[in-house]
Amino acid sequence: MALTTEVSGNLLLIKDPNETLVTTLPNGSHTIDWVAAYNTFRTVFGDDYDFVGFFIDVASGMPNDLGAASYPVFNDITGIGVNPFDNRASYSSAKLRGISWYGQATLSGVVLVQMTELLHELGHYWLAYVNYKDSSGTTQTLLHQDWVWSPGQQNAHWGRWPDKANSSMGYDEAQWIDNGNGTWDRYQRDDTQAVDDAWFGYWSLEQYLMGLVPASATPSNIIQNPNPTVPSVWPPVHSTTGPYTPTPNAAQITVAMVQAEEGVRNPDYMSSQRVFHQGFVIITKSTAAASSNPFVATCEGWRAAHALNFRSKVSGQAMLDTSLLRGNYSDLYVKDNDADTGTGLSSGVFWLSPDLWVRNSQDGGTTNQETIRGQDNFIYVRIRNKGAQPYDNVSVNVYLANFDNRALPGTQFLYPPDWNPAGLIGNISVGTVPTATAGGDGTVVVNVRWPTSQIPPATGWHPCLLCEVIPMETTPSGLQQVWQNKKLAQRNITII
Amino acid sequence: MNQELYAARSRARELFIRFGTVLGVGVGPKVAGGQVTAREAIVVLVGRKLPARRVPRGELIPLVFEGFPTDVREPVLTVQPQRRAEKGRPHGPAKWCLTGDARWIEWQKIHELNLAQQRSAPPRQRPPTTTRRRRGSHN
Repeated sequence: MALTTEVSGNLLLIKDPNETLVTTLPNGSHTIDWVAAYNTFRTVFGDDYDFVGFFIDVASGMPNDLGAASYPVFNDITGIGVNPFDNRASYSSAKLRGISWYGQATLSGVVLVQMTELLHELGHYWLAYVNYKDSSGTTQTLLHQDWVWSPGQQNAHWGRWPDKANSSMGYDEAQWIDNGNGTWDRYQRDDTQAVDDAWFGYWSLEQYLMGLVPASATPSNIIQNPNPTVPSVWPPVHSTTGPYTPTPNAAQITVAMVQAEEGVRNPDYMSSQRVFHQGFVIITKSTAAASSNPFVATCEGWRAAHALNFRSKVSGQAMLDTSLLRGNYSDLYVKDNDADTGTGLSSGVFWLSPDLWVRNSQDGGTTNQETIRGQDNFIYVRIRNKGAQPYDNVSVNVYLANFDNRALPGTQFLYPPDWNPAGLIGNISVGTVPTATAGGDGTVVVNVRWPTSQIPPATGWHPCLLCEVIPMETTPSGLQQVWQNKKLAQRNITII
Repeated sequence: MNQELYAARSRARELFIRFGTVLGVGVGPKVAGGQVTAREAIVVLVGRKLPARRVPRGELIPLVFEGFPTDVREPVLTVQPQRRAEKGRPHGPAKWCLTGDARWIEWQKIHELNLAQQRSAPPRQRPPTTTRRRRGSHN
C-alpha cells in the first residue's frame, strides 16, 4: 500500500504501512529517509516552516530504535560554532532550517517524549557547538568535557563538567549548586520525572547563542573541573552528592571568551529571528483514521505543550508557532484601527484596536469600557477573515503589558518579548473563523475572563492589552511592532 | 572554531562524498578502541566500514587529510534501548540524542539509497521491531 497522509488538527500523519520511508544502510542498520518525509509534508502544507519535527509511532510497528536527533538544513548565523551553509535545494525549500525526530521508546515499545527533549532537539539548531579561548589564547573544549557516552556526540552536547544551569543540552542531567564557600554540590535530575522535566530549559549562554539576549545578559559561568569527584556510577535520581572542590585550574569563562573563539554572534539579538514555525508530523504504519489512533492525541498534547514551554523557557524572547498553516492563514487578522484592512502593515493609530476591548461584565457589548479595579473584567477579541475560505484551529492569546516596563525602552511594544508569558491573561481556542461575505470580513468574537487578581495596581503601571492570533504570520520574523503584523493588536486602557 | 579544520572538512567533503559508501563528512574527535586519540579529526561516515583491501579502487580514505587525522566509521543512527538499563553505567537522558552524527549525514544520499531500495525490492516485511536486534549483539 502506498504512503498516504491525513491531517488531524495541527498534526500531519504520514501513513507508511510498508515502511517505504525506512532505509536500510549497507551495514544493516536503518534510518528514515527524512528528505522524502519532509517532501511529503511540504506537498501538503507548503514551505512555511523553519523546523519540522517527526514523532515516530513505534506502537504501530515503526522502528523503535531511532532515538531522537536533529540536523540543520540551512544556517546563516555565525558565532555559534557552525559555519554558514545552505542545503535547502535538496528539500525544494527556501525556508527550512532544520529537521528533528522523536522516537525514543521504552523496552515495551512506548514512545516517551519529554518537554526537555523537544527543547533539546530544537535547541540543537543553535546549540551546543561552541568552544572558548582561555586567557592565553588557546582553544579549550571544557564545555564538552568530561564525555563518557557515545564518542560521536560530544561536539554537539555539553559535557558533565560545566555548570550549565538548567540547560536541556547536556547528557548528565546534573544541577550544580554553588555552596558559596568554594565548594559545589551536585544534584541529580531526571527528565522522565515531571518535576525535573519542568525545570530544564535554556541556560543564559544558550539564550545569547540563540540570538535572544545580548552578551551582557550572560553572567560569567564557572566551569566545574571536578576530577576525580564525579562518580563513574551515576548517583540516584534526586540525590545530592558533594561537596566538591573544583581543582585549582577550574575555569571561569565569559561570553567574551566564547566570542574570542567563535566570533560575535551575527545577527545579534536586535536583528535575530524571533518568530519561528515548527510543523509536527507523525510517521505511522497504521492506516487507521487519526481519530482511532491514540498516539495522535498523545502527540497533540506534546505539540501544544511544547509551544507554550519553549516560549516560557526563553521568557517570551521568541515565539514558536506549532500550528499547521492552511493556505489561507494570512487572511486572518485583527485591526489596528478602522482603516486597517489586514494588508499586514497599517498606518495611523495602533494603540486602540477596535478588535480588542474590555467589558466590565460578560455582556457581549462591543464597545470598550474602562476597566474596573476590584472585580473581574472581560476581554473581548474579534478575529477577522478577509478571504473566501473558512479557517479552523485558530487560537488567541491575550496579554497584559506595562508600557513603563517594556522590553526595549524608547520604542513601542516589541513582539514577541512584550507579549510575555508572564503577562498572559488567557488563551482562547476560537475554532472556525467564517469566510468573508459581501458585507465584510467573516468574524468571530471571543472573550476571556480577566480576574481581579491579575488587574495591576494603580501605581507603577501604564497598562495595555496585547493580543496575538495563531496561526502567526511568517513575516516579519524579527523583532517587530504591532502595526507591522496583522495578527497583533494593542489597546491602551484605563483602570478606575 | 578551528577554521582550518572546517575548511579542510569542506574540501574533504567535496572529494569523498562522491564515493559510493560515504554518507557524510564532518568534524569531531578521532576514536580508536573506544578512546579519543585526536580531538580534531575529519570524520568520514560510511555505510559500511570495510577492510582497506575491499574498498573500491580510488575510494580509500587517507589516514591524514591536509594535516588532520581522518576517522572513518559507521554513523550511529540508532540506539539500543537496553543500554539505559545497564547497571552502573552513567546514563544520559531518555532522549539518547543522536545529533552528533545526524548533523553530518548527507540526507540526500540516504534519500537516493531509499529510492534505489524502493525500485529494487518488494515491500519489506520486517519482523516486529520488538524482537528485532533487541537480543542480539548490540547489547
